[in-house]
Amino acid sequence: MGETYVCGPLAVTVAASHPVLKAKVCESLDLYTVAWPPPHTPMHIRIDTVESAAPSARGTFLTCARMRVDAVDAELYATCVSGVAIAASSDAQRWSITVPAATLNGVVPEDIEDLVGLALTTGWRRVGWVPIHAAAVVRDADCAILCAPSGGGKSTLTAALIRRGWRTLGDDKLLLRLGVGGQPELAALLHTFNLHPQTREWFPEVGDLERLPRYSAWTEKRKVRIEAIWPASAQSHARPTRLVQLVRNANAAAELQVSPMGGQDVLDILLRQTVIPTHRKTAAAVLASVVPTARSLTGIRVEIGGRIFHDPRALAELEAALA
Amino acid sequence: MPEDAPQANMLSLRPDVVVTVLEHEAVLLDLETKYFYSVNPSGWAIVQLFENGASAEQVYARCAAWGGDADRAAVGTFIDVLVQDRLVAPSADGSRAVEVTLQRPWTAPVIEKHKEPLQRIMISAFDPTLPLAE
Repeated sequence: MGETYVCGPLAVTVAASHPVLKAKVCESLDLYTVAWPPPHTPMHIRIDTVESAAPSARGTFLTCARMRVDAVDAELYATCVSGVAIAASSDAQRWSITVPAATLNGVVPEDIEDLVGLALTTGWRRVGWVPIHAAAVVRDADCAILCAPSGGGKSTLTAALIRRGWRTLGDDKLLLRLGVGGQPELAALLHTFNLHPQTREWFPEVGDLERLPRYSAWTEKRKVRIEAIWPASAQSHARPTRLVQLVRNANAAAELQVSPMGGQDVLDILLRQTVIPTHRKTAAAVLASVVPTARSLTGIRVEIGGRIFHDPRALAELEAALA
Repeated sequence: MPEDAPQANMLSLRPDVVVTVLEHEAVLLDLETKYFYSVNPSGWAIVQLFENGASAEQVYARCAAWGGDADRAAVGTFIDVLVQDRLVAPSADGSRAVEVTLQRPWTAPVIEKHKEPLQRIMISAFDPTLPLAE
């Protein structure tokens, strides 16, 4: 069976009839660099070629930019634009990816990553964790969830705070659950950042990022290991206390504007950081963690100007707002 | 909702509406429209009546028993939102008449619809946001 990939609470093994396909799956799993202690829930992914493309899913469970997912009874089935498909067993522990032979040489790596991502997010939810697309920074008992769309400045702001002594759980993929006593708990999955080469302007220690491969075809960003640049800056778990809605405004008059957010807005923002499938049982489980978590958080809206990372006073003011 | 709606006009919460309860308040998510709503304790008690199937008259009567006699108009407005937003739909089944207890002192029911629906199309199974241009 070969290597086991620990991806959060899951231990994933891979089998394939074709080494190139296996490599693509393993590349996606290899992203998850944070060591989680046992026990792990097993998951097995098999990838094979097939003669012809599987019927397209309709997206009744989930519709993504390049992938549609259906739930058929208790089993998930998904297809990508390229014809690559995945089907899950009813316990979501065994997944089978099929690649049409005709498209073998033209398989889009992002499609494999999408399907692997579907398997992992499903597996995480099954064991009680909710995937959250956000960054998190920690200092002492303060833990702020940083929320912004992709490209919205989460990674850069996280890096800026690390340089001021904060630690991080990651810049875009976290897991959330209600832990002991119903208290929210955040956990890290990967201690790598996706940084744009221009961050060197603010953080010279990142060096020349353009020598690294792009994170994906859709972005200029490069993947870097956090602790290779900022040692002892990574953390694996924290209890969130604040939620930050991060808004970039390059034309803002001030480099930093902070305003409080009410509870309804905190819930609104947090709900938009997680995928909620159109499936009653799955949605209920997600909401059961997210709604109480939102209630426990203090929310602030932070609007940052284009030169905040050159402005130590603005950063100090932001730090004070996070405490 | 007409106050003299016949007893036979039973309404029940649609199966696509997912409810999350927190400290006697609730969040309702309509999986079809992707809108979500926050309701206060009195509102949650009313929603529970519709979970089990109820007519508007039954709801008015129950709210009056909870001390909401003076808030009949507010109850009507609350029911109107549930009906107009299709959070409840006509039910062929009769009421299952499960006792619903109001967990907090009665106040006028409130339902707040959040401004924007959740995303229908995601970037990926992990990322529900829309990317900004670099």
